Amino acid sequence: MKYILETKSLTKSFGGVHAVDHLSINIPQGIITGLVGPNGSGKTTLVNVLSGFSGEDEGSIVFSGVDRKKILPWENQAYGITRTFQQIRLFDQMSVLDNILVVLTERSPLAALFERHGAYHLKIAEDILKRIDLHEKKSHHAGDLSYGQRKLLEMGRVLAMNSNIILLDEPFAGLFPEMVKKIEGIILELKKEGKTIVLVEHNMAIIRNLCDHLIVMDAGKLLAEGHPEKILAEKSVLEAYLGE
Amino acid sequence: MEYIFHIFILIFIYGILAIAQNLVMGSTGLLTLGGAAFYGIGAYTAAILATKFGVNIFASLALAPILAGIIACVVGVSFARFRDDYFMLATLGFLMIFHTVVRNWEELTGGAYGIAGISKPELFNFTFQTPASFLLLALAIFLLTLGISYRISRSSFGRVLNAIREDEDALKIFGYKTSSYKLLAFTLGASLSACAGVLFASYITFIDSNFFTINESLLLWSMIILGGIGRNRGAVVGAFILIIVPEFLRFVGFPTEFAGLLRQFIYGSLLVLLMLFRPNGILGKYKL
Amino acid sequence: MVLWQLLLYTLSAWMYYSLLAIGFGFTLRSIKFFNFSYGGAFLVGSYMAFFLYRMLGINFFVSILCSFAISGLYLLLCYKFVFSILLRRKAKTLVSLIASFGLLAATSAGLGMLFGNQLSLAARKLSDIYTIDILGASLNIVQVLSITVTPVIIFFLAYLRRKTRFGVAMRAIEDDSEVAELVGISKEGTLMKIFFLSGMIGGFAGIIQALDLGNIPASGLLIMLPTVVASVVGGMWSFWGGILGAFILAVAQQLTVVFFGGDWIQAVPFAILIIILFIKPEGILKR
Repeated sequence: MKYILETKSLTKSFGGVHAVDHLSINIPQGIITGLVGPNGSGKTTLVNVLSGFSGEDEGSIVFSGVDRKKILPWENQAYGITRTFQQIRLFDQMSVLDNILVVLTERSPLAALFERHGAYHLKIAEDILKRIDLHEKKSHHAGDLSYGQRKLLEMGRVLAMNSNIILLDEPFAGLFPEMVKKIEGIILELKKEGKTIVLVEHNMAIIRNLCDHLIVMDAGKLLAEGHPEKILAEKSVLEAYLGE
Repeated sequence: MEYIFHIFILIFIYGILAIAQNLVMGSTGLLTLGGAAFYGIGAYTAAILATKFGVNIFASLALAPILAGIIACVVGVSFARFRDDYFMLATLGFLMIFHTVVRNWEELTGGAYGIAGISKPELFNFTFQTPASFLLLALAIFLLTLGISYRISRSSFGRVLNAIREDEDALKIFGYKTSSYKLLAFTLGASLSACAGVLFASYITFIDSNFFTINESLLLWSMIILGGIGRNRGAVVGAFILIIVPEFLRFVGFPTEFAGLLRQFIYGSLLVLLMLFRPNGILGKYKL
Repeated sequence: MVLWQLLLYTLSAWMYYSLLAIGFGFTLRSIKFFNFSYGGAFLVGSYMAFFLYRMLGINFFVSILCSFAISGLYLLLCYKFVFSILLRRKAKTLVSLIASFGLLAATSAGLGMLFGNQLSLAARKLSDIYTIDILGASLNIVQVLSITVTPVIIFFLAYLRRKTRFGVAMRAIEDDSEVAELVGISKEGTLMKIFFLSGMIGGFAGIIQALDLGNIPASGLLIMLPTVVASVVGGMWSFWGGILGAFILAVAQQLTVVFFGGDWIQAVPFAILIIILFIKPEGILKR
């Protein structure tokens, strides 16, 4: 098993509480790993730290064998990692198309000022929007979309980033079954393309459906790890969940 | 008739300032009080070069923005890491320091007495002496500025600036070093403001530090907030309204000082009312 | 002796800035943004004193008392009609910040239009008439008041914060207003009182300056500069931080005057501010 992402004794605290507590986990490459645990177990914090959204206090994060040292958020692209947000963080007063375009275009300010690949990026953006069925809404403000469409647009951004490691923070929360199916479809396509996916999720059915590997967290620590069917039958895991 | 020329020249000058301010504040949501400082840097550069070295105003129109841009880069690099409210305080600090330096460096800036006798622009032996000709010059530069900012807003750069205003932290994750963008926007805004400063200095032929105070910066805020953040049309509308009103009052007979205070009262109240009831201004696309 | 004189000047400036910073800090900590309308309260206090005492001829002490009550009311109204609405709407702090600038600009312009843009003195050069000789240094009466009365007020305010129910409520709101409400503290009521108190303090400082130097409409904005600097530098989240910041500011200003001459005095607060923003943005003292 090749590990594309590893953490070594990773710790992140908030005022004395270890949200992530000396956590050492390994994310296998090319499959879908579920990240589960009761509320407050530190899943979102872990995703935040891995994506540079908040800094770690101790420990290290290793990408394909290379210790990333201090994670600066904008270096995610260089390390091939992207994420979605549990609370959805789109650019609401910008159009759907712009939300995708901004992820595709030149990153350096001067290059962006004199951009020469506009037509190409536009083509890719439109293709992505067609792939996720949001093409008719391309000129609408992202804030005007329905909840399900907004979750879908976040996935669109993920597609546009074309990263090797994708962290999804509860992408199915509050969605109708048709939308759940759509997003499941996209995730499976991504896996087929060889991407590595970490899926934070509560819904057991989805976990059984999608996840090849499962990591269970509790109170910031690693509780259990392994094949979903086996893990979900384990006593300690059930207790952790029932306890909440 | 000349009076109308005068008003429009002011509108064009402030229009340039408002567009510049909009570039910095409207797109990135950065609150800067430094607008008046770069305006002043432009004006003083033109004034000093013209009166002490006999340099043509047109040359200043090219040089002043470059100088302002360099200073903005230095200031911006230092301040780019600051969070919103601290950034604002830091720009306020910069403005006050600029003010103090100008007032005290007498040999260069004339101190509290200012600089007088600034020449009018000259091009191929034609001097833009008359209000009518100056009006055309101001209009030309105004249109140029409008063109530049239009080009920017249509570009990828402009799109990124909008995203920064929307959700900077989320944008960073996607590979953007947002501080560099803010810095470039800040620098461009400063250069454009300096252009306006050169025009202003040449037009009224006398400047002192009282023209470039916090109140000036606040006036610029009001112009873009009134007209509508993020929209160049809005910035110009805001400039138009806030120039016309006191001039109208003066025309109707109020003394200059009173007209100035009344304008301040109006824009102060407008800022409050706009924040309460219509944060996106008259024409605005984006809510703050 | 010159040194003694300078020390006393510094002391009086320190006390004065402390008062301003503390009053400002109350609203800063409770609603979490820089409330520039505090400068408006400063102006209202001083212009009201001018109006009541000089124009209406009302008794001196009554004028003073009424003036800072009115300035307290002013800030309370600012809260009630502007900031509380913005807070309820969960507007970004930048919006409230801009609104506070607008209030200050409108207030100072309004007062200027009503009372004229000229220097207005609440008392006919009170500071020139009464000077007191203290062991060889001479201070005008306003500076003496500053040194003697202000510490009393500061200790009273500190007592208020520590020992009274209001003080506890105030500190709870500063910490976490939502939790405070759960514990039964009336957020709205406490904030109103905080603003009133802050306005009173600002107004009182305004009256002091009016008696000493006189005020012009621009004073409102000008006084905010050292106020904000003293609060931020000393430690935004600490009551005593304002006093520390005021001390640093007063000393730095005095040293600047001595070594560089009075013209550069305006740049001092900002040089300090920028330095602190680089080193430790929240200021020196913690909560």
